[in-house]
Amino acid sequence: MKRLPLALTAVFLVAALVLGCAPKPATPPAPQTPPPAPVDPDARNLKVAVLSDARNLNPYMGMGSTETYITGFVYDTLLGYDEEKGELRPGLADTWTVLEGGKVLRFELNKQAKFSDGKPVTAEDAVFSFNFVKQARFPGFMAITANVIEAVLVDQYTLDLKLMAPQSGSLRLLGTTVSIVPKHIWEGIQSPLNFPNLQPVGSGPFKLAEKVDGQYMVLENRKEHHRHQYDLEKITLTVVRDETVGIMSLLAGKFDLLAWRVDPAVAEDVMKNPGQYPNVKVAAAPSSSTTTVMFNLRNEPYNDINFRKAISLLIDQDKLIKDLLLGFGRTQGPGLVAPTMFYYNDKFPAVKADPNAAKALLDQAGYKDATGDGWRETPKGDQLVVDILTVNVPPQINVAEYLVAELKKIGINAKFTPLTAEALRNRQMAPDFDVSLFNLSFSNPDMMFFYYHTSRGLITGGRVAGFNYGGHSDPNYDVISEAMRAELNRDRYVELLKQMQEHIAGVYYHVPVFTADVINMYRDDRFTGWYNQPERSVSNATTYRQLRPK
Amino acid sequence: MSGAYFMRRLFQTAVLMFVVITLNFFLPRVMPGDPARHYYEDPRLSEEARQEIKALFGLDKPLSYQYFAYLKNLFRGELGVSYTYRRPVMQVISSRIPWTVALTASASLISIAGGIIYGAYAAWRRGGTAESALLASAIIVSAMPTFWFALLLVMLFAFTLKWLPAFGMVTPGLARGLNLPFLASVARHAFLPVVSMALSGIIGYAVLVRNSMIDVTSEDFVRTARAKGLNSRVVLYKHAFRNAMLPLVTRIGLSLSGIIGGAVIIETIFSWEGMGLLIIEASRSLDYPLMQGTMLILATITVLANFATDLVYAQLDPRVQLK
Repeated sequence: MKRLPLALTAVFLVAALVLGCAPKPATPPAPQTPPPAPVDPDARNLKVAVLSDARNLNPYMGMGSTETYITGFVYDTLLGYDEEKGELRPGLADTWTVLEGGKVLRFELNKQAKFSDGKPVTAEDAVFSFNFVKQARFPGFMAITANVIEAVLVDQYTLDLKLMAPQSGSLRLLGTTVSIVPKHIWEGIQSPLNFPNLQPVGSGPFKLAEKVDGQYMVLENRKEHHRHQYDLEKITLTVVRDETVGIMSLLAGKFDLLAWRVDPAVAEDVMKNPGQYPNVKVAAAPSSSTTTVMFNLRNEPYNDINFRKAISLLIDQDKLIKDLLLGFGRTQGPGLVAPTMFYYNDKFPAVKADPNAAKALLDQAGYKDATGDGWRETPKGDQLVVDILTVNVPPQINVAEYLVAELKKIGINAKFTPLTAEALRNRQMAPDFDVSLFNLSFSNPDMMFFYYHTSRGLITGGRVAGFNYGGHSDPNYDVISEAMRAELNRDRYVELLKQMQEHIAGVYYHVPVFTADVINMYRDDRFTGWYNQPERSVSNATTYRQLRPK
Repeated sequence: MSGAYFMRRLFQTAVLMFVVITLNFFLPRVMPGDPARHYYEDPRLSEEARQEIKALFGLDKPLSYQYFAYLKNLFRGELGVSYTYRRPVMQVISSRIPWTVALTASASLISIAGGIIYGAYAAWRRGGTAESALLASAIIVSAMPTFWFALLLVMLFAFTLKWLPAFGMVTPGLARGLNLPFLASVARHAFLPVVSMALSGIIGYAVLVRNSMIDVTSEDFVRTARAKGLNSRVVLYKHAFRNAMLPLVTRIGLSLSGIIGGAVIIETIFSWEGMGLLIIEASRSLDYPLMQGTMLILATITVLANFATDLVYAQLDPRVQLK
């Protein structure tokens, strides 16, 4: 008798598994009359694989990519943004006006907009959202709303945002990042920071129809949306934790799109063997995130522009793109702004590698092998060992290896130190480095201020105040970058941004290595309308708007 | 088992638990970075705003203050609110435990039962094909990475034969609960991960049982039992097996924490939302409350399982408590 429970358990387990694996019951015989033409219920259901779950759907607290993906569809913001043209477009607001020299932003809302629970969206909701975000002190929104004094109701469909100071980026920053939530729901939330919002009610083009934690989420088209731009009926996001299984599932036709950046080796294989992977496509889009060599300008000899320029002449971008990115990358000019950006200054194309010119420059600047040990010393006669800090993953670690080899070829003793991402960031912030690999992006023009302005490189409390880890400092640049941030005239704004690139190109503070492409993989057998957008590849708002079943 | 032995082990367990609770607080904080870094690295933030964010995460206070607050909350049974889920940690963990247990307990049961039967048989038929096959498969399985074997199963059964789902825990759209379609769907989804985990388990347990049985069957009391003319099945299961169980009990006890802790690699490949994935997720995002909650539960189960193992061991082998 003692063995009976164990035996029963085993039998149940085996039975359950066998039951689970049993073939499906035979299909009943076909009816006599021919059925109506089958309608594929999934014809307008875009199946997307994501690598992570949406852990919370609080539009002010979500940090993960899947969370922002969903809240981006469920909630509207006042404005949209065309990244390619660098232009604002209507969102919840039909029109927007800059008043009082940029100290007031006025928005007039679309009168047809409704939340998914049927209640109309009014200016009261928008005013509530802005003031709520500011007062609740959501950590991710403190910087965004720092310049806002308050949101004020003008009439039922009009609101003003009162700002402390005019800023060129305010319309984009405030108009496109603060989700408008229904006041009638959120005003009752006692602890907004700990509100997971698992049944979100928004005014966006889709609503969350179903969510099973860690498994899948279904977004359903709200055809009553005031702009109704989507033909898709559903977007099903399935959580696949393993990239390999995700890729195999895409090849098997279980997904239409993988919503993550695919490894270049996989992309190359698919592109070289189209017959082996029918209907599977790779879209490689230029990005603005550039891998650079960053110098700590506070230390010798890295404060010598000749030394930095010599190192820049060793970097063969074409070779690195071919060898490390398998061709999925672009060369980058010393101005560091990608050619796809609306404010790109085309006077600064990528520089060709020239080791002989590097040697000559070093000789001329006094970096010679005075001791005869085979390595160059500094002009003061000090020993020189360049230590390059890098994150310990490819392709960065391979870039560091390459640089060390190239430096040694021209007589500079060098080594590299691989670190975890966190440790590298701590060393950069300390700032405890001479040379470090550093990824920067100017997709937001304001970053030209934050990476280079003197104030952002000051050391307070033992760490660098901002992203200017290497301590770049130039009063002229500071003046131009401050003017850029306050400039409301578009032409003048772009002109200032181009002037800043001129300065950046001349200081060799960040030396470009390459710009890796954003690579997406998708299938084109069910939908047409895929659009490969710079920075985003095919997983972008335009694609979702354009997709039509085949 | 004497009362003194029980009390001594209970005291040791209590001390160990206190050490575990303390380490559980300090270890996450030794890791580089902190959970609020994602926010306060925003270059646009002022220093005051940075400090405010630290305060929101409770990181502005001295470590000793944070430690005593943690002990106080723990004493009240509060594990805090997850930074990433924005839900109580206990709620997040309790949603994962049934799925993890369903997966790992099934794999463990199959491993233990299969391992015992196969190991005992291999030992009894020493030098036979079963034993040779066991030793050969032990080498193969130990050299075969779990993820590789799991991916092979996925390729074969999910993509080539299309018999089983490649990942996930249940077919979308099914009503959840104790109904047959739902349970059958879970079983279908669990099949490949369970097999992936059970294979190495069966071989591991079988080798252990085989070795232990060989030791025991060469003992005098087994020879005596045989000489008495007892049925070989009786000798195997009643005399030899009970004595060979001691190392098995230890191993099962130690594997109990794995049942709750899940299997990170298998859960990742099969997108099985268990505790293993949760622990990794919490560590990656430096979600201190979630890290502490998951690790505390695992550590508690490990300590209690060790305690229980010692008690069972003492029951099986009375010599233990005298040492």
